[in-house]
Amino acid sequence: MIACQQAAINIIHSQLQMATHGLMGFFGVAVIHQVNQAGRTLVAVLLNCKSPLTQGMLTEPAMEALRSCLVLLRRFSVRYLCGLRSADLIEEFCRGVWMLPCLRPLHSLTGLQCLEFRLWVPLQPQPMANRLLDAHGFVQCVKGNSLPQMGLARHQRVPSLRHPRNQAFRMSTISSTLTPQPLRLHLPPTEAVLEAEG
Amino acid sequence: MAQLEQLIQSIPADIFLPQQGSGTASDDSPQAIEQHPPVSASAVPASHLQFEPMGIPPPSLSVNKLVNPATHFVPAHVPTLFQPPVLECITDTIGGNTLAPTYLYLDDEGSTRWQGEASGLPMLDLLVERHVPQLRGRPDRPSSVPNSTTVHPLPSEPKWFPDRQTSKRVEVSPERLWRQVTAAIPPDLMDNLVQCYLSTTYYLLPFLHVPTFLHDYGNPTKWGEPGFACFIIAICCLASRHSDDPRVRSEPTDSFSCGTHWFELLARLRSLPTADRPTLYTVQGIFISAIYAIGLGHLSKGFALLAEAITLSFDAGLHRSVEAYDCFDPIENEVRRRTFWSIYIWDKQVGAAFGRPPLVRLRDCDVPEPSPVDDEFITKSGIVQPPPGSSPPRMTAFIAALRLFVVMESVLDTPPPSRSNRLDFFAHAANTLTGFNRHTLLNEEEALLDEVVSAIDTYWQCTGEVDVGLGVGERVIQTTQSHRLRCLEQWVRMLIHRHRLATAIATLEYNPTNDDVGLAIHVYSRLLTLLYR
Repeated sequence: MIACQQAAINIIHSQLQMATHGLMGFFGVAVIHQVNQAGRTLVAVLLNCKSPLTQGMLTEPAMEALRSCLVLLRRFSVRYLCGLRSADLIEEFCRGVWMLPCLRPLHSLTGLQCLEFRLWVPLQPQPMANRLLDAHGFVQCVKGNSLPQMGLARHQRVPSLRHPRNQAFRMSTISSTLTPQPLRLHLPPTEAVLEAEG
Repeated sequence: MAQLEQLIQSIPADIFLPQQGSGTASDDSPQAIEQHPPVSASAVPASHLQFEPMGIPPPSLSVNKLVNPATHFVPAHVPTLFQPPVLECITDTIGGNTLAPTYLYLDDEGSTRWQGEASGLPMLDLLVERHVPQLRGRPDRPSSVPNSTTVHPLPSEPKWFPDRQTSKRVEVSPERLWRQVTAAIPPDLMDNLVQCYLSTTYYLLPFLHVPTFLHDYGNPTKWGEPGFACFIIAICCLASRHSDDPRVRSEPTDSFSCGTHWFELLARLRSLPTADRPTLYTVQGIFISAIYAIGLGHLSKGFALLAEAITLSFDAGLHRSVEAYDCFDPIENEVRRRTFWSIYIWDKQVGAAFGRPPLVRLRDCDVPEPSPVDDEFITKSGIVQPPPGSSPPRMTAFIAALRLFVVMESVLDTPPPSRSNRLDFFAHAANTLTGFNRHTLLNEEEALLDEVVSAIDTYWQCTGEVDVGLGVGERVIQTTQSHRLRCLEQWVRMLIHRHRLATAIATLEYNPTNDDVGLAIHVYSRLLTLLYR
């Protein structure tokens, strides 16, 4: 998981450098695909951070890289519809990630509660009459199990596909990543660090 | 330098211009509009003509002018300049027996086509080759030949279909096609967009031989090929996203509408006669339009176009080595290779981005890599080695990227789906058909990736932070290519590690301490590596 996260961060870091120096005009859909995949990887890492140790080490750099990932995709969203779609999806994941156990002490949750937080599960179509939006814009399934194959219980929360409304996140994302900031992964000592330490 | 000067002299870029010293394309464009009001869809403010293409123009663009053939279509009342395109007569000889399961031939329209082993033609070709010595001296040789004309009849061999006239299905007037295209894309805008493409996207997918393309771009007879016109439109669609010219948008307020109206024109032109011939420009045009459609969010359309480009590549035999045929000059040979591998790269990229199964695999191809030589050193007479001491050819960056995508193909090669009923016929047949054998942790793929990365020229290796001097084009190319390779490497590496992670998640029951153990193992292994280095 560490190497997985490191590779994703490296991709975003490199593309962010290209964007910062105005060289993104050389690239197009290919970079959207890369950054999108890197973003999904980071979401997976965040969702898989289940112990306090990994949460402490991996969460912060992953979240920071995820913000940069969104900024890059939003930049491409100006003229690439596929960039907009990718950014929307990642942002929707992020909205779920912020409510996921990776930001909470997961060990305090039961197995069923963990399942309830799997907000990234793809939605199955269901009649609008069966949907109720709660105060946070989440769909409350009141009838019918939309995810029978996942073995989830009814009355669980799944994310709606509406546009995210977390303006605070957007502002913080832009303000924190428009200026070039090297992404630092606070991982166990790397080779360079270990070598420096003797 | 002598070779370069020879190249410059051998390609008269302004051969089709009636006036000498016409300057750059951007300088000509306003005049072209003034002289040919019918080809412009609408009056364009002068400020819109100030569009300055971004990127770094390739060296060939500074040697050969980008000039469209507008001056040849000036007077509307003049009879059409249409001339039947010259069908190249390929009459070289076979270098040896065709042992590979591949068969290249000319169809009844003169198009180069390919058929594989199952067609039976490769075997017949081999048998005919062996039978020819027995037939020599027999004037009444039976005509037991395949339904095609072989590309290289032996000198001592009777000519196939001696009485057949190659049909010339040329039904499109170049002038009519030119006017149809320029009614949607004004010539000056077309020039700018083509230059923008050559200065940006071309570096990522350098399948063109730029001097040849520039020559064709200004050649009025080339516009009689719908495939070429489609390619130019596809380029304009793709480059429209890099342009701030309001004319590139179908809806002025909609930034996503860049090139969408031209995309519809592209679809109409593809229904023209001869538009389905698998020429290189046809394949490239469909390929570029696939990229544009995917960027537009029209995924199904984009995937279908990509599949069509691959299908046409197979038709033209781009995926097969043509070394034994000696029927293509070095330029066409290189463009065939570059075109196919560019499409291959995109097939892998789509596979990695969307998890789609591959449409073309390395095992289906034996076409070599492109030669590590830039356009300036490739002529119809041969390939000239660049002078020693110069920076590595730009094409080596493309080759390195291609190798990374080859590794990606192996990473993306997923095992066949497990079948619950082992007695099922499909389960039984799958064992015979797939022959899938891969280590679960992708160790071999990772070793292959390390091998490819270590072989990348140091000139293209990423040094960390970006340091781009203003106005230094070569430095910009080096930086963008090195970062591209770096990202590709990290992408493949990420896919490998993510596969391992997914496998671990799927096979292990949830245990909060697993991650801690993983971290400890990671740190411990790093320490051991350093201690015993």
